[in-house]
Amino acid sequence: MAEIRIEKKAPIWPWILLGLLILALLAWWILDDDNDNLEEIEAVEDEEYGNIEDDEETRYIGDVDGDMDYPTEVAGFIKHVNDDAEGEMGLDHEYTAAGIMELAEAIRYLSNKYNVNVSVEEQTLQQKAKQIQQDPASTNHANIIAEVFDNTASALTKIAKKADRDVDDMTEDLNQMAEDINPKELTLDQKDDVKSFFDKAADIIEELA
Amino acid sequence: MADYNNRRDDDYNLEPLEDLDGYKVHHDDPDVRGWEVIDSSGRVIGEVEELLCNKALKKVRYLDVEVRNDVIGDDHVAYSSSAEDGIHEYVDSDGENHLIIPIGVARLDTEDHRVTADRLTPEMFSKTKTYRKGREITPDYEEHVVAVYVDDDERVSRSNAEEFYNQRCFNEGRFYSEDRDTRERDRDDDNY
Repeated sequence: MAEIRIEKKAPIWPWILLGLLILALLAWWILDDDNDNLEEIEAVEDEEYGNIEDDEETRYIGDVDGDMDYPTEVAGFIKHVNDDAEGEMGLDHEYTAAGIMELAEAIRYLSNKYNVNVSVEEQTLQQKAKQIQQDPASTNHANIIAEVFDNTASALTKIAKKADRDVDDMTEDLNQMAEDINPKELTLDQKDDVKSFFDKAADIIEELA
Repeated sequence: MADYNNRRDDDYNLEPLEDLDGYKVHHDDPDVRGWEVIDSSGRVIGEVEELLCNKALKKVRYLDVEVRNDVIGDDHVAYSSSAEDGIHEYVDSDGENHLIIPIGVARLDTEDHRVTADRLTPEMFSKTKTYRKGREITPDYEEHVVAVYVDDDERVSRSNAEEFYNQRCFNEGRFYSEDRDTRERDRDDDNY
């Protein structure tokens, strides 16, 4: 039937306002999510040992091997080992020295975490790394590396014991690998053994971290 | 668009819906713009182009129909402004192809999207003068249109706007019921 009425149109501004609000929320959500994924590496300046669990300054970096996040101190060594997919070592003693420094860092972290004193081992690693850096052409590196590996195996064994892990199961192989390094043989000729040691050490450190 | 509001100062100004900012056809009512208009013989005489509204009443008062040129006969008389002097000149039908239909005359077919003016006979249509789009809808023109549908003794002058728009041709319910009453009475008289 022919009665046709007219009415006022609904105002559009509330819808515009709602749209802007939704956009603002989306932007906030996206930006907030991005911040959580940013990689932050904190330079460790505090050399005092303490209970790592109380250390609120410890920051975690994004995942190194696809599984989980690691503390910065540990992630450095794990990443170093993982990056050497093709065996970067070769004659690159810089790589070895850097790996030892990262290893020392990771051991220090674990020693703090489990409150184990491995300062001797840790300092030995740092000294030996510097030695390699200072004299990269030396043929005595195998001897140095053998000493580094002995101290590493020793430190990780102590830490694993303190962490109530099955020490034999966890570090027996590592100890054997350290002994297998022949200080009288050129490092270059033992690079596979060196790589295997680093890999094994990384596995143990990951497990304890 | 025609200037519908010239010389009007009352509350019954006609305004095309297109010009009413912020207004639209009620959500429960059909927007018949673009619908075909059919007279009582079933002939399509044109298409609804605009809705002429009373803003105060929030109602459509007229359908502005663009008439098909083939429907406008050669002898069809167009309404021009000179009609105010009472002189209806014949104007070439080209361009003079709009007319307004009071809303009460229209019956809406929402299924087929058609407007049927049951009471608009071809004869009545021929009496309704068309106007040129863009020309004003004057009170005189309104009276002329309404006069086609309302008997002399019932007609109200446009000067009395309230009563003018209360005429039955603006009230579909009244328009068709009274028409039905008249036809039934005539039939009863015939049967008597």
